[in-house]
Amino acid sequence: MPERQIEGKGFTVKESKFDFFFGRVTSNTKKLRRSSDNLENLNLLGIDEAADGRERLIEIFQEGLNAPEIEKGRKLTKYGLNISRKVELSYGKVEGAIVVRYFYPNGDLSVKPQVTSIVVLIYK
Amino acid sequence: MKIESIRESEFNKMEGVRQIIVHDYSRKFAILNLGEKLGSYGMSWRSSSLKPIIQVWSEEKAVWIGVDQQLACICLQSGRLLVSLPLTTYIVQIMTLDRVTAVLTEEEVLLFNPGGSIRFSEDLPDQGIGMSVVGEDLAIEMLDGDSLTINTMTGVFKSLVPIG
Repeated sequence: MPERQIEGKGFTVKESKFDFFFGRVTSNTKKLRRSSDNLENLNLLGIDEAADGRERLIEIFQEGLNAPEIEKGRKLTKYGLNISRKVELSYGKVEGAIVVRYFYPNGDLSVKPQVTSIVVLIYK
Repeated sequence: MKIESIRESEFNKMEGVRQIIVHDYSRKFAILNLGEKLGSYGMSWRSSSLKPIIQVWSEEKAVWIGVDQQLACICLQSGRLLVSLPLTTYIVQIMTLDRVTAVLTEEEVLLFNPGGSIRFSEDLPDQGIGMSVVGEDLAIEMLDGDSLTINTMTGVFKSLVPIG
């Protein structure tokens, strides 16, 4: 059965990605430490799944569509084009950003991209 | 060979060529001490709960270091940097095999020859989450449950039946 896709405004994201974003992909703890790292850093930016964190991420993915691109993250593969965009955030005294990675199948920028991963940056 | 945490100020004092892995917005700083002859190499990374992957390549007398989005390889005889490579996504795993090193990132798998030249690279159709050796092949597991194999000698790439 195909995996459920969440349809955002201007993007899609696979349901399973939220498991990775919120630290639940821990079947192999050594290789997937980044999943728990995501959880920790999202919490620092006030994004908690138990407090509408998923909805907040979806807002950020939408906002990210028009955010500045990180040019060193652009990658063209035989499957399509990957582009990283950075959304600045703050929570209390914590400042940071979420780098959202968008995938455009077949390199077609006119279609809705898929959100494939995030990197949470915590500034000083 | 061990990793020792250092302060950011200590890292910043290191000679640039000794800072082999540097990330924007780093929160962790460390040195890899390779002994009196070769000295120490610095690295900085972002993830507070992640530690660098250190993989000794015994037969080639080299060591691979990977953390966040940067990969490096140092010759353990000369101290020379064989590989220094920024990546577009995070490193998941490094495996040293017979005359080849495999590096899995979230978006691709890279195979390196002895000496550090790239033998082969292949993009993944989904997020890579782990790899293992199956005979002469590498089996790559992806987040969506699919997997594929790559022959490390020929580069032949095959999709496998979805798991589960």
